[in-house]
Amino acid sequence: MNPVHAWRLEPGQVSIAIARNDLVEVLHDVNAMGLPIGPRWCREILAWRGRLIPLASATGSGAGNGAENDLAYAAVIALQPDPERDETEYVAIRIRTPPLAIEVGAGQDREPPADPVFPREYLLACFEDGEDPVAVIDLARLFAVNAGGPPQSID
Amino acid sequence: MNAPESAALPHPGTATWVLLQWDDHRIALPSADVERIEQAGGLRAALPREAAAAWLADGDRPIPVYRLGEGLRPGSWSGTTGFVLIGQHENANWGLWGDGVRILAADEQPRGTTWPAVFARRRPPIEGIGLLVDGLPVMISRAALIGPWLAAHWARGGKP
Repeated sequence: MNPVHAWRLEPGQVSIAIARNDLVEVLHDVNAMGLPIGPRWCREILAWRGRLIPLASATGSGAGNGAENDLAYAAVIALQPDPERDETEYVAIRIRTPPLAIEVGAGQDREPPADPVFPREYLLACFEDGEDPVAVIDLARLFAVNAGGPPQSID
Repeated sequence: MNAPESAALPHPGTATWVLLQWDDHRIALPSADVERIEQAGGLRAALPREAAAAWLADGDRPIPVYRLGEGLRPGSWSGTTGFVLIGQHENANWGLWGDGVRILAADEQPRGTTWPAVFARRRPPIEGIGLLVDGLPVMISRAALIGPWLAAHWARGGKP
């Protein structure tokens, strides 16, 4: 099996991976704005290229806890909630360092860590990069842009 | 910051909006949805078993006044400064407290309105988020959303 090209992002204690083509832009000195609504991991919004897009943070920045000081970058990600429709949703995640290009091969699967940064119900898989666990998150569900609609049970 | 131009504003015929501010948050309602604006000095503390944070005396029909808290939950508050924005739904008045209120002129309308699904998870009484001319975000609502939402909160026991 050919290796999969991905970006490794550092949103918190555990890295996450996204497909290489899904990363649109990396921002520094993020000028985000807080909101009193949304799940605890997404209470900020970002004006980006003529759009307002949700900005998630694994450490819950935007809640006045100062977490954004340690997460100076943001990765803007393109999501296609319905592959049969030519629609793209843009979302962003706060990260600590610029993304790292990685390749993921067969046999790297591993058990997820106890705290996979975002709620476990959004965890799709976990693999090992070096000695570090890297989580694969269902971002469409995390940001509720999937066709099935947003889950209502968690906050 | 350049204001996004991504989507039309809800209620495009609305000429003026009433902006209520508290802490670092803002909510805008079409001015037609606001019955009146009162100073908060007339508020009376809620009875212990009541859901509203305070009451505004209004003849024989006191108006429950809420302060919107984290998660936009109607919360408790017993201060006497600021303003109360009075709206109405199905012949019942409600009040929202804020520490500032402003009427937005036609050329100050929120721009770039969007409503990302992630913010709609808990079904807040909001139908859009836009930017004010100074680049600050504002939540856009209307009385027909807030009234039933507060009524449902009341029906559930009204605990903040």
